[in-house]
Amino acid sequence: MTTRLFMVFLSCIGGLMMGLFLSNKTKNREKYFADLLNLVDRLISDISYLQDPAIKIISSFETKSIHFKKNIDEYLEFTNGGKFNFSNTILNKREAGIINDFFNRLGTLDYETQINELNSKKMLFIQMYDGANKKNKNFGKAFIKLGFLGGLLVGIMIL
Amino acid sequence: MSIAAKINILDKLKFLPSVLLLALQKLDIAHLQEIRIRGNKPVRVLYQNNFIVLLTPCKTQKIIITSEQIAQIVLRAAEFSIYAFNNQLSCGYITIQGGIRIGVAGELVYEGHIVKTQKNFTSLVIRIPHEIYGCANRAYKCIQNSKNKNTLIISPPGAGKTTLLRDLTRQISNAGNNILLVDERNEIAACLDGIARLDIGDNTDIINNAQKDYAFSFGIRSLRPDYIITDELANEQDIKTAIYVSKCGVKIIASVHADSIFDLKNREEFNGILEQKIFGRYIILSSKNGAGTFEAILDEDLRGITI
Repeated sequence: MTTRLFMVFLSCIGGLMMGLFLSNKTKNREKYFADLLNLVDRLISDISYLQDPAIKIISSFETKSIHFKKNIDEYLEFTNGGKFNFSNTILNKREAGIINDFFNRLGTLDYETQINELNSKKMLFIQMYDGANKKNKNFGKAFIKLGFLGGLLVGIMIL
Repeated sequence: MSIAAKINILDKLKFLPSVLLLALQKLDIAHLQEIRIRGNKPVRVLYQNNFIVLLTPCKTQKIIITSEQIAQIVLRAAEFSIYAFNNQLSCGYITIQGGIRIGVAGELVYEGHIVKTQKNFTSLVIRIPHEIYGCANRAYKCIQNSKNKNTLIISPPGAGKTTLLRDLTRQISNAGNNILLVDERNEIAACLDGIARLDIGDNTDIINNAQKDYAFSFGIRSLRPDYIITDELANEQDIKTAIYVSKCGVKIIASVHADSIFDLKNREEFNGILEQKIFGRYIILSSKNGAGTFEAILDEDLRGITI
């Protein structure tokens, strides 16, 4: 009996962990897009006003999202002579493609085209942020509860 | 040149492909004057006043740079921010940190009659700036002896006029004069983040990346200089501006691309300057005995004088 109760306990923990993982993922996606939008806003304003180099703006940008920080570091490494290896663990294929393209085209255009490009990318990023924000609000906490309940259900079935 | 200074220059050239950087490390950077890169052709450098073909570090092959690599070099030199350098690029050059000037040749893109940018780059000429303390001693003496007349430095490209202007600026500035340095291409002072990276004296105000007409009138009104120093009077507008400055009670020291005073005489746009005797001294440079060779010093009547 003790073993079976222990199995239920383990199953609950497993479900909870799964719920936490999914909840964190939605939270991280929201943070990622929020920081991405902040960066784009910063690029638009600094380029429009002072025409500062993109590298200078990006390297001084502070981000809370570890995933976005990783992508920024990869971009800075690329500009420093390496290859651009865009790593992705929380984005879907379409999102990753758009953000990869954003980094690849950044700074390769003249002033007006660059600002237009940033503004059009910003619209896409706002959609992505809204989607991530909605998902986080609707499912962020629910994933934890559902994970726990799911784990409990599996445990009961084992009993 | 100290090891630190060598590393410093190589660090500024880090936008170049690694194979090229490795080959440059084998040279004494103090004697490196120019790097010439042409698409799919061997890279040549002007080293100790001679052109040499650059070889790979193991000295078995000539270094060939492809046109795609040239595009990458431009992008990297522009710090991945073409928009910030596009005005320069449309004028055929970009100046990067440390006053390194990259001449860019390629296909021009027009918007109406105005060059919008360049694409499909075919070649690059990278010029390494030098600080030679004392190289302007004679020119400085000439200005002092002339009782501070306006001075025009006449020199063909690559004969050391920018280096001379830099040292001249430093000397006049350190003598206590207020200088306005109009550094259109940011080559003389090599400003970065608002600080001159090359020594141009303690009393020098710098306006860089600005057109001369704007910088001169703005500078005279707001900075009250004793001297205005600028590089390369190139077109009619620049000359008109120089004449305007000379009538504002500010001394002007400028340079111009020409082989001799006769070349200048043959250029219509300079007739006004010569006839009105705007400049009281003409210093003629050549690279006959190496960059910075003094050919002659002339007075306002174009008669040779000795210093």
